[in-house]
Amino acid sequence: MLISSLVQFRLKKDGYETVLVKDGNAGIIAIDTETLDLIITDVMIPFKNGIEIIHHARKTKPEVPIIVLSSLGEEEKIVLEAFNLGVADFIPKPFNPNELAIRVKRILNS
Amino acid sequence: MGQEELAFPDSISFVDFLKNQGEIPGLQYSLVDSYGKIFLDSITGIPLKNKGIADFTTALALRDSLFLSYSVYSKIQFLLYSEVNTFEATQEYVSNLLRNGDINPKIANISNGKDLISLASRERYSPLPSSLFAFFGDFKIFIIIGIIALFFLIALAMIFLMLIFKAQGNRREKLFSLYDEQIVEPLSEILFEKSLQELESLTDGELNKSFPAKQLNKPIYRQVLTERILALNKKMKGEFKLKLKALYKRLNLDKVTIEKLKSKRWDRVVMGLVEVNEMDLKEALNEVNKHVNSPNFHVRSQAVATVLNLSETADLSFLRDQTFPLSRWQQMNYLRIIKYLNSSRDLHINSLFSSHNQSIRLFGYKLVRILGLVELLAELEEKFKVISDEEKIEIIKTFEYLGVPVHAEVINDSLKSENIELVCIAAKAAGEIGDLKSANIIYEILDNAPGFRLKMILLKSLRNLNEELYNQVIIKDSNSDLQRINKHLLDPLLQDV
Repeated sequence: MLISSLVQFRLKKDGYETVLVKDGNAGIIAIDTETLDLIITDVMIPFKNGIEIIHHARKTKPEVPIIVLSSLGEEEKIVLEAFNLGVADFIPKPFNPNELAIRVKRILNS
Repeated sequence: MGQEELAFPDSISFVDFLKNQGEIPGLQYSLVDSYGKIFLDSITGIPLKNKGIADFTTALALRDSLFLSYSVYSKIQFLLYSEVNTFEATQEYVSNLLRNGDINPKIANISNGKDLISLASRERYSPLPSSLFAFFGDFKIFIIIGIIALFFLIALAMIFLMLIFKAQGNRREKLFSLYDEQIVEPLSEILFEKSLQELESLTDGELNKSFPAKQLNKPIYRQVLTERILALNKKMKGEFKLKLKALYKRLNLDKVTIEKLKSKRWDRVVMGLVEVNEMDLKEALNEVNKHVNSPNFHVRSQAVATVLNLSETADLSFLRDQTFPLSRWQQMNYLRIIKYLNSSRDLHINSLFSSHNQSIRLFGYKLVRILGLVELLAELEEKFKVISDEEKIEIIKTFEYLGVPVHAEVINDSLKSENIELVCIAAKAAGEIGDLKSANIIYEILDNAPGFRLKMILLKSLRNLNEELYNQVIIKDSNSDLQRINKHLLDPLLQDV
């Protein structure tokens, strides 16, 4: 949660409105109920993994780009699956929040 | 009849029996005075119960009523088939009836009376408990009650303790969540809004606006802060790492970490070592060095990894002096760090060869192999004559792996060993880095080589070294194993299996 809070803080600083959820179930609900321009998700999250979130987002909001944050140690298969599902970007951990902010800006401007 | 044992042990039990039994066939009773005369009825003048009284209880009642009404003393006479008989004869007669089953005794009545009398005579007199709690005087009951009470007390104490621990745990969790929330904002502000220089030049007062001094004195707050900074440090890179490390020191968390290294609890020491390692606290290296030969596996492993990671000057000589054996897990862990460090500085890996600890020496040989340290092979060859077979195996594997064909002598010596495992490894290596002498030795030992596996390795190596000798062996020897191995080796599909 601390990492997501930091990312939220950084994006708010850039003037973005953000919705922070603490687990996969809340993420699914947020995708269904909120108006979103971009989704940032980790692969390993409680209750539902990031791939399930991406699947759901692709089904219900295919136009919303997704950025995946993940540790390099995580299975290559999962990362490849995420790319196959059409995620916009993949940022391996450890990461630099400023770099993430730049990528967010680039995706939203394109 | 007289020889048979009487059914009644004494006269009392016989009289009791008569009282309980009622009428007995052939037995009647009459009442006589002290002269032996039969009592007559005062009105009719005929003898009282002239035909005899059938029931002994009735006879007793009549006797008692005579005494009570007229104060006349009378006694009961026994009539067997209307003839007067003695008490003993009557007792024998009744015993005979019982033995023959002619009458059914009312056993319950007899035995009850008898048991009560006999039990009463055996039981020692003791007064009834005089008070309600007198039973406490019985030590057995007292012990049982004591055990039960103790059991309940312990159960209650445990429940009480569990509740206390649970409450403490809940309180701790709540505090963790609370401090977690409190930390996020100031931490984010410092990381995103302050440069490294600004962070380092913050005064205590400025810092305490974000992280109050009062809170920093609380161990749980410090723990949450430490854990969060460490977690962020793992997941972030670039200047954020530097800021986190600077913040860690500015908040004096490094001093808490160094204190942990002095703890008597091994888990706290390990935690401290992890913190030193993650936050690059080089000033704690002196304290860390004290733990590199700790008897605790986890402390020792973490301390060695920390020294290797942080020290810019330390070589592997500190590892050489370790007295505890290295586990495979430790070897893998150290290898990962050594592999990274070896390219940047000289770690004196050869110092491990002179360790008194065999597992350290073996680790040294493995490092030579994995890191490809060809320049150390000559040192290994020098040591070869004075080391154990286990070490020889590791060194030969290293020679073979690095494929340097100048150490055939050690391989040739090993081929003559009595240790089959060593011969196997040497034979395998000979195939790759052996010489003509190796081929001749293999040729010599092949005849007496025990086991199919060794023969196969020897033949394979011989074929690599000298095909002519190999063919000689196959031609001259009809040994079925060698012929099978030959077929195997010549088969293009099987030769590499």
